[in-house]
Amino acid sequence: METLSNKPSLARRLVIGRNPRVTLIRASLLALVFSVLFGFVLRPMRVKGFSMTPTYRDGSVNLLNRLAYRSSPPRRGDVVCIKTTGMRHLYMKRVIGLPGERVAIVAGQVMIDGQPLDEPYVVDREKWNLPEKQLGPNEYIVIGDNRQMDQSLHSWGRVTREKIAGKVLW
Amino acid sequence: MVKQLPKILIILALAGAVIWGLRILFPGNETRIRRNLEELSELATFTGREGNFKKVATASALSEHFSTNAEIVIEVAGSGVGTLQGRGEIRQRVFAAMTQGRAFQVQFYDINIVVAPDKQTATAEMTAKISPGDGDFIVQELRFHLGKADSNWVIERIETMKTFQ
Repeated sequence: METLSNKPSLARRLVIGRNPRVTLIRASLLALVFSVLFGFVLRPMRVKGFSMTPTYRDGSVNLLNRLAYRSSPPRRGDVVCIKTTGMRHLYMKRVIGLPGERVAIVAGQVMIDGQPLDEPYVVDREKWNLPEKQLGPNEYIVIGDNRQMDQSLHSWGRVTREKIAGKVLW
Repeated sequence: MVKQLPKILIILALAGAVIWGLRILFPGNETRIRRNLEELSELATFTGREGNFKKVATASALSEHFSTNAEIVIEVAGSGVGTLQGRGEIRQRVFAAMTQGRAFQVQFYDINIVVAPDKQTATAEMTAKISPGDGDFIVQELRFHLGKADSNWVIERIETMKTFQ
C-alpha cells in the first residue's frame, strides 16, 4: 500500500516526467536549441502584400535561412529577403541580376547582358522598362514576381550583398 | 572570502542601482533622442475621434519636436514626393489630418542613432510603419537629422532612404 501511494500519478508523470530534474534540463536544452535556431538561423516570417504573387500569397508563412549565403553567393532565381534598417521589416524579392552583369528591362522582358531571361514564375507582365544598368562587383538586382502591377508601385532595384538578409526556405 | 560574499553582492547590487538611477535621472543623448522619437510616434498616432481641444494640443506638441525651419521630404513609391516646410506647416498638416476623422498610426522600428562628436547634431535612421487607417500600411526607411536647441534635441529634417537604388 505504501509503495502505491508514493507512485506519482499519470498526469504528473506526463507533465513533469519520472525525474523532474532531468525534465528541467531537457526542457532548458530544447528552449535553448529553439531560440538559437529560430533567432539566428531560421527566421519565421509572414508575407504581407502582393509583390511576390503568385509564388507567395499575402498572409503565407515562411522561414528565412540566414546562413544560406555564408559560404556561397546568391544565385539568379533565389528568393531572398532584403533588410531595411534592421530585421523587423524585410522585403521579399527574387534575384535576377548578378554582380558584373548588364541588366535591362524592355517592355516587361528582363535582359541580362543583352539576352532575354526566361522567367517561368512570372504569370503575366506589364510593359515595365529599365534602362541598362551595369552592376558593380557587389551588386544584385532584385524584383518581385508580380509584374502585373504598375511599375511605379513596385519596390525593386539594385542592392548590395550586405542588404540581403538570407534565402527564403521554400 | 565566502563569509564576505553577501556583503560583496550587496555592494554590487547597490552600485548597479546607483548607475541605473543616474541613467534615469541624467539620460545620455542617444536615450533622449530615442525617447523623443517614441513620443513623436505616440503623438502621430490617433484614432480620428479626438475632440478639437485634443487635436490642437496634439498638433502643437508634435510640432514642438521640430525646429522652426524643419523640412520633411518624403518620397513614397507611386505617390511622388511630399514636402513640408517649417514648424507652422507641420502643425497645420497634422491638425488637418486629425480632422479628417480617420485613424492614423506611426511606429518606428530598428532605430540606429549616431550622435556627432560635438554632440550638437545627430542622425537617426529607422524603419517607419505608417498605417493610414484603412487596414493597409506603408513601410519606409527614414533618416532624421537632429540638432540641439536649448539643450533639447529637435528634428531639423526628415528624408526617405532608398532601400533599392
